[in-house]
Amino acid sequence: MKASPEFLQAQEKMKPGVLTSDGFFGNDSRPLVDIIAADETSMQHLGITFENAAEKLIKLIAAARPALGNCITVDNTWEVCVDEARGGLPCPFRDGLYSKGIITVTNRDSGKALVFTDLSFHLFSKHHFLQGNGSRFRIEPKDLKAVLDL
Amino acid sequence: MIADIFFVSFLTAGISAVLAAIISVIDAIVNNYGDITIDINSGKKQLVVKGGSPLLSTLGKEKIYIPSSCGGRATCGVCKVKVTSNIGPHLPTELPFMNDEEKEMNIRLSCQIKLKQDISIDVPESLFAVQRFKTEVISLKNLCYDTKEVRLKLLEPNSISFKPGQFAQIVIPPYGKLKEQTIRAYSISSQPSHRNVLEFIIRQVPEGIATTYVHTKMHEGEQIDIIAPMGDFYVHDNTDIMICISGGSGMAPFKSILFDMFEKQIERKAVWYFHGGNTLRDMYNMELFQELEKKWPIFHFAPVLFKPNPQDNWQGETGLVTEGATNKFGKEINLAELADAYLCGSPGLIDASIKILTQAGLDASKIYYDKFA
Repeated sequence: MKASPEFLQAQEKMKPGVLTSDGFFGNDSRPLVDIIAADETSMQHLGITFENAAEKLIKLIAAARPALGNCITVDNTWEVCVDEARGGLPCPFRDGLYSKGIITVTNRDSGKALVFTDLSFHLFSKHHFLQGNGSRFRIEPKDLKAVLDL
Repeated sequence: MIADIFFVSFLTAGISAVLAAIISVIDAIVNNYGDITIDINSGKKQLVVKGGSPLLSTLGKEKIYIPSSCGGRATCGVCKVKVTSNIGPHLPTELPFMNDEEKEMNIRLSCQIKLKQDISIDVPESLFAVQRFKTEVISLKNLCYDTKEVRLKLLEPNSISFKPGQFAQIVIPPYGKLKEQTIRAYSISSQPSHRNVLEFIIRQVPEGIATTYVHTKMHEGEQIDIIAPMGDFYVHDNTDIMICISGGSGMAPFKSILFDMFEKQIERKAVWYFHGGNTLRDMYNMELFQELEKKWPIFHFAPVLFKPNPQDNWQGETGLVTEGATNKFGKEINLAELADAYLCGSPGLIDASIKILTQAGLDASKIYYDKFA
């Protein structure tokens, strides 16, 4: 798939050592647009949408933020930890600055967890980019479905 | 066929390289901006510099260090200065870091301003005292599972003067896949009386360029550059009650502030320090502050655990660190005598602390904070 200049610039910023030490692609050599397209297809096959998943995550994160970095249980199902850290990271698509903190959402029944940052949540919800295979903060569509009970 | 493709590729690459070289030469000849005058703080300082380079690096060469975390790549948004002359509109690379008020005030990212004409800027006077130091790592100590204490001996210059609560920028050398140095800010945790050693408390941020270096690569004997002192988080004169609230590595400035106050025997009716963590494994330096509490009658240390494990045998306050503070309001802390409050931690902790303090009657102008943002 052909990438626009905006996507090519974002792709450069996602490489290791530009915004983060290991970048956003892990060991995935596919271009950004191909990763997005493949994950959009996976989401569709699983019958889940970015919008529904984002809505659920926003609700869980909003419930946990007042706990000031401590972990809380939401709806007796999810343990949610929103750990804020000093500093921010700009979105590679140049549409905002996001906290470096780590968010962990664990489904207490299955023990499965999603681990992501404010920026990776933004990349997921706004740009449909779940990060490359092997990236520390990649959100797997099947994990999203399993953890959030979608 | 494949040979033809390779030939065309090499030819294209060769032409591109030649064109890039020609453009570079033309830029150097045609875009000769000559000498540029930088007027700082309405004539307080005037620099005549060679034009064509970014404002941030040009000021750095003149030993005026504007705080910056990314080394001029427009990825941190820290190097803001107020430009008081007309240099044209904000660039697209600046806009993600500016709110409406900053745009209105013509706050700019100094790394994105290419010096093509005379320019006037306003910067805090305290930046004139900032220096670049060569240092040596003299100790690295694990404080808890994700937090290290780093001590640096100043080599050149070999002493520093700073206010407790201020921060330094640590220059992280290129490593791994990183080709350029990275600069990050950390609060100084040592007292100013230790003029040739600076101490920092650094918590590892997963994927963080600088904290990963500190936690996995930095070693004793290594030489590291720092830029310091910076920041306007420090204790204001008063004799009434002072409250400090922190979480995580937010303890760093308070270690400097409180031990300096004890050393100088600063008079206050009382000094309360609330520090929060999830469980006991998140806490560190507890004995240090408990010892200080024994030696300094006006000082009260109140660690608060959100959800201690049974094996923690925790006897202290539980809940949010802000709840630990409010539990004392009107009881051990006489709110009528509350003078000011100092906060260091995540934006959430700062916002929640401001809320409880203002609800307790403290004027917002008496709440000083160092936000992790």
